[in-house]
Amino acid sequence: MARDDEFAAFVAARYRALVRRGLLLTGDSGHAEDLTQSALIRTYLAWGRIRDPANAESYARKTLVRLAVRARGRRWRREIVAARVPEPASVQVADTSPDDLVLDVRRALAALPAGQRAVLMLRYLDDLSEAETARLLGIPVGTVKSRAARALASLRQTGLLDRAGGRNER
Amino acid sequence: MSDEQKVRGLLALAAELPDDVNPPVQRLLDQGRRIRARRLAAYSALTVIAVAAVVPLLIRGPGAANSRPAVPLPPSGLFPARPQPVPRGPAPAQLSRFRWSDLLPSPIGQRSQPVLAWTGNELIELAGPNGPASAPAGWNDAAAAFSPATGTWHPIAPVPAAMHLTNAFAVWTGRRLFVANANVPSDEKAAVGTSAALYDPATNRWTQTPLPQQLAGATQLAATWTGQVIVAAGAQSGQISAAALNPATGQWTMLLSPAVSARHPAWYISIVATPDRVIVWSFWYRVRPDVNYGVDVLALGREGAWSDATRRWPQEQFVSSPLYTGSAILISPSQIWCGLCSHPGGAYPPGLFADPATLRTAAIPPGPLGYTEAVFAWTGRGILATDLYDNVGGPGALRIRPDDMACYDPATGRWRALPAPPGYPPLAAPPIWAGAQLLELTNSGQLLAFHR
Repeated sequence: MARDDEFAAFVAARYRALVRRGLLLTGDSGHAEDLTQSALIRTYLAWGRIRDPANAESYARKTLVRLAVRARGRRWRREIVAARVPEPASVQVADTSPDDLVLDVRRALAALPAGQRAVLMLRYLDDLSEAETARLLGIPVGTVKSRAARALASLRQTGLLDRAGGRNER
Repeated sequence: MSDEQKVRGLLALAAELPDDVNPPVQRLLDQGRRIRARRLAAYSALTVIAVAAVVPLLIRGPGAANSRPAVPLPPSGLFPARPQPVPRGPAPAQLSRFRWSDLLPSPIGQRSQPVLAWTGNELIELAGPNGPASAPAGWNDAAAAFSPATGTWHPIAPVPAAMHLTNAFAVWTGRRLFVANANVPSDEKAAVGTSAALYDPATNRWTQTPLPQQLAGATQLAATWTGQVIVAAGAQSGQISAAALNPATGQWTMLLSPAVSARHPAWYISIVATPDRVIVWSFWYRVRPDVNYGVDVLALGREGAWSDATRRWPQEQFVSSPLYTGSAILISPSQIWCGLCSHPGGAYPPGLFADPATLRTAAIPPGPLGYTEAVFAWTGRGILATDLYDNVGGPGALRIRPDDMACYDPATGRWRALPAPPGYPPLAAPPIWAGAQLLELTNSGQLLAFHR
């Protein structure tokens, strides 16, 4: 069946790239695979409208981001309200070896709100414009700007940006 | 290197995957095919249903399709043609000459939080679940009635066991007592249960009435008697459903549901009937996108439609037991509490009178009970306030204890302190105004009267 063959080829070629994005969005490779597979199932169901593999990639990425943001929302809704809001965990990064940098970055990303993570990924990994990011997430452009600024400020606070520069210069 | 370039590098680094992440192509294909097949089957079924629904409309002509759906109403309507008379009791000045007497203890005995209701002739006590550990099986359903005329108690038919009374409440209709569960919200699904019950003192019989599905799924229920029907409103998943019960026929009619904003999910509702409107207060509480709370006021009119009557209703006032006095709505002092916004004990917002037509409020000044969470009873001409919970110390002689009482005269705007029951016994339930006297039931089952 042509549809299934095309989809199988697409999954084989792009699965790891999509899981990488899922990993940035969730901070956990297991969740990243779950999300990617959910996004791919939806892509399969929409295949008749997509056809072109280039469109399929874009469709799957968008679906992945939306699912990630929504999944985060669902988890929050199950939480019980406490009398006091706990202090956010500190994400100060110790001065560790370059090999630990991957873990530190994932930890810092995990500490960001899901919406900020999604904006970071779309803006700086997928190179989408602010307007495209806003359209994809269904939020105003101003919110994209403020989320990106806050996310960058958080990463700057952890010292990761300095270390990133240092590592590249090494 | 700019920050943005550094972020790109960091993201690429953090997205590195181990080598063993491989695409599960066959599994995804199998799953996709299964879902697609299910969807196709569902679309086919929907098409059949849609055709079945549209064809009769086409046969009847376009006029039928365009006609406005009727607003559901019970056959008897929602309100009586004439307002219910509200009996006039003693003037507040007379209450200061009342005294306390011990009456016969309840045959139900030691009890906490039973359901009490005044029928105009008798005080009815329904036992409920909070008895002593040694209580015999079935005792939770025990019920008894006290007649002030004879000064005696007599057992009445037990509450149907299937009711499983749990934080229940009662509404007197003039002839029957409507009893249902879930006066306070519960996290348990369907805390209301599947049925309510009606008790007829004339025949000493209970009739179970299955709740409409929308109310049976509620986590909290409130009800009021309009003089014609019982209007019950239930909160579930932030939405409110409403239905009317004709107690004579046991027939429920689902009413329109009020529009509740997703940003104001209902958590606790209270209700009162005025001569031509049913007013529902929806205490809403949300945690997303921010933690916020407030009170929406909804009005159900004669024609069965809801309107938003919130306007300038105080948003810090928790409305727990509204009363209609015959000319105003009376709200006991209470406060919003949600874990994030509680006031210290003894510092509650004061009680309110609200105009039934405009819902404009007038605060009742604090009296001898200060800013405690006193529960109000309406005697027909004044407020009889009892402090149930707050124990407030203070400088000098200031001390307010549970059981302390006071009365307020709206005609003069003055409070008077009243004597508390001797020994300050813990009360099993809020006091009941019984036409000419106040009846209080203690935790030990002792009945007390505050009377002429």
